[in-house]
Amino acid sequence: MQSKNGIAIDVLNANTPNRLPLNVLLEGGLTLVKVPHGPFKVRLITPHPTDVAITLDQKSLLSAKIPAGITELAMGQDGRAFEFKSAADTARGAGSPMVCEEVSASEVPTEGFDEDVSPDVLAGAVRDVVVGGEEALAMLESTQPEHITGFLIVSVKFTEQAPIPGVVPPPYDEDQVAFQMNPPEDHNQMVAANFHKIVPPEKIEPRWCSCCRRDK
Amino acid sequence: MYDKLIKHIRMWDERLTRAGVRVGLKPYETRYELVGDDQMVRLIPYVMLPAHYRHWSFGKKYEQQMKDGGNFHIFEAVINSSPSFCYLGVTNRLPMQLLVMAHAKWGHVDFFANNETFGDSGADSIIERLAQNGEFVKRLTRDPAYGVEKVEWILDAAHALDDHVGWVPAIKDRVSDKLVRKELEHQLVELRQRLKQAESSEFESRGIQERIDEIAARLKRDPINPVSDVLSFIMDERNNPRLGDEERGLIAIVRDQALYLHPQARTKFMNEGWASYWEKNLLLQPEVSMPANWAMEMPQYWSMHDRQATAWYFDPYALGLSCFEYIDREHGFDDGEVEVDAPSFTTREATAADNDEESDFQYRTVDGKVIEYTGETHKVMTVNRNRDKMFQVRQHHEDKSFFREYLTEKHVQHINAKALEWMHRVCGVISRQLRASGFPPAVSFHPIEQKLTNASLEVFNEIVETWSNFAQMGQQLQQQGWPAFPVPPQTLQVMGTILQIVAAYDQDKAKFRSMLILRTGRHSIPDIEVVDGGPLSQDLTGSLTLRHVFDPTFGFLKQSECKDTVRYARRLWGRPVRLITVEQAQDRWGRPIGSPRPYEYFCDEDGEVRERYLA
Repeated sequence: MQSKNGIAIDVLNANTPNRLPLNVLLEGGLTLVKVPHGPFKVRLITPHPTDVAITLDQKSLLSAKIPAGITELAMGQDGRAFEFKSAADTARGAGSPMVCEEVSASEVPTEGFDEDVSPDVLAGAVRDVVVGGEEALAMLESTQPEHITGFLIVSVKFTEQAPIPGVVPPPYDEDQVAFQMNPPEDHNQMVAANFHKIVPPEKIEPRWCSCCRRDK
Repeated sequence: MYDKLIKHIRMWDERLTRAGVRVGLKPYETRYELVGDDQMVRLIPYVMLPAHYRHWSFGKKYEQQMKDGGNFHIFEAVINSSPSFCYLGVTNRLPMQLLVMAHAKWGHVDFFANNETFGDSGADSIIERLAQNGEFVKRLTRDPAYGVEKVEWILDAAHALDDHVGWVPAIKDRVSDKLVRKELEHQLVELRQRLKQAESSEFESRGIQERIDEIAARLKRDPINPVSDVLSFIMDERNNPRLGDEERGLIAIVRDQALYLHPQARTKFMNEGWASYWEKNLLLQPEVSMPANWAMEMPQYWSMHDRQATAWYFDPYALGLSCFEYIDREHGFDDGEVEVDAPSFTTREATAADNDEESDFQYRTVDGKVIEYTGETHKVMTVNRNRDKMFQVRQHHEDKSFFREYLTEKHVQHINAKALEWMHRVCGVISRQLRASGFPPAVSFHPIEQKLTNASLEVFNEIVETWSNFAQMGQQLQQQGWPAFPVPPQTLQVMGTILQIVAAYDQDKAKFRSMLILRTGRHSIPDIEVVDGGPLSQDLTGSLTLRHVFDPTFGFLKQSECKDTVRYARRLWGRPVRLITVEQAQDRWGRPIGSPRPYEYFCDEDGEVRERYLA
């Protein structure tokens, strides 16, 4: 996965470090990564010294400065190896699982809304708003994960450096790249459920133009 | 030069016509025009009609096209009209021109003329309508009392809603709102009488009361039945008498064009698949008889949309074509032989003058002899392929029903098998390249044939993951003394995507197919309908209530687009507008937070859009 600054960021399975796990990019920028539960690494290939911050399931793992070139990060600030755990394992561990933030059910605000519409009409519109009604809505709720694990965010920013004469300095703005790690079966399920959002790989075009055969 | 080109185009058109008519294609009469690339790019936003009305958004489309592609080449553009107009790129080579004519006239124009979705598009009057619309807009723009800013004020809003003009083709025998209201009122009277009689049990009485409440609530709505043609509802004088004739006229123009264009969006995959099928199969008929040098060249054009394996899942041309080929395989059959007229020709050895001839006009045999067509024909026997099922499908379906019925489990498995076979071949090529470049067997997987014998997805995963790693690290590894990795990361990304698609399909076939259908044509546009236009027979100050028919498969709407929808609807309606949908909080990566709940967007005269959860 490429950050907007041209830094290549990849998640590796620590047990097979010479393989780049299969992944697929979704519209919106989230990358789904097929990786089993267990230790993992984050690899960065950067052209300049870079500040990196890694969070897993909203828990900060590491904040570091890395040099230009290839860097593999496998251990957090607490000295423990990065580990992708299942929700159950996370719950058993020290940290409490990351529970989806519930939007609090508050009173329906009325100020600024025109209430001229008949309450019956509005109730009818609301009742029929979902195809399949309450059942479909309940089904949708049942598919929402109660606990989310494996959601990794890598924030990168070029470390400020003295500009070299004649060279345009790189942009210093921060960029975030997000990965959702899933063990193989869950990953397959996620790809099936999000197939409509997959960003297809770039077309591999022939180098010559098909109409006039001129070299492009 | 042009005379010669036109003479040759005519000759090939005659041959295509003989073949097309014999196989059962029935396009509108079609007129060809040769158009330069620049003119083509300029006209595409205007539906290829110079008389089309002007709006800044068309210029923006043109600018975007230029920015995205720069000096790209468009092979053809064709208009759904009767007679139809087919614009051929003037710089197409002659063999490409032949292919484009088969694709456009015998594919697209036949589809326009015979697919039921296009039944209400008014192909026989569209040229005149668009010209009249252009004149109307021009007149208003030049009218000092109206002016360009006012025209754009309305057109901007109408364009924003032009996806919501109802189902095409229209349902002819739909019961009117008036009749439904009468029937419901009658039912209400009857039910109230039954309730008064008090002969029924408590259980029955409760049931009757619920029914009474339901009907009474329905009767309060106007319209009683939700209306999916939002623009039509808004411009109807009975619903919106404040709208001036000019505004009504402008909205009608946008609606007319939307109704004309929607069938194309709704049948994009089918239409391109049909055209791609005939651009190949028609050229192979004996009536066409391509010279050998062209026949050698055609396959690279035929495979233009087919050469990347991921296109078999994502590309309208490749996926549509594979579905029609599947129908042909499953339902088509050879039905005896038929006698046809094939063009006669003589051959002779090539001279120096022949070799100097421009290559487009050189017709050669396999052994390089010059072909000279005599203008006569001779009888030959050919197989009579029965394609009745394909023709039925072409007539009755649109993308959604087409894929539901013909993107069957068997067919997807066929595509998957084809994709894995492609993987198998590519793995062999890459392995050999890696070996030749000096990579060790742990990376080249040499001898790969051994590794790939009865290969499971896991074996492919291992190979692709390993190579992807090397491709990603290529530059850095080279600095450490490794040879250059000869495969671009793009290729491995395609391979990785194929593996994930196949695995995802195996995991959940139903979900995969429904999500794939969601990628097609207009199915990425939400269903929005009018459920209430305000109280009847009052001072018409009522608000307009729109409802998004929330489909859990489709997902949630984009908030920014909802806001624009109510804002622009408010502009045309002239009174408050609300949109009811279902919303769920999401983080910036689109992950859900909390439960989905009904949600309202509301816009009043200040133009500000307010939002709230309704329950």
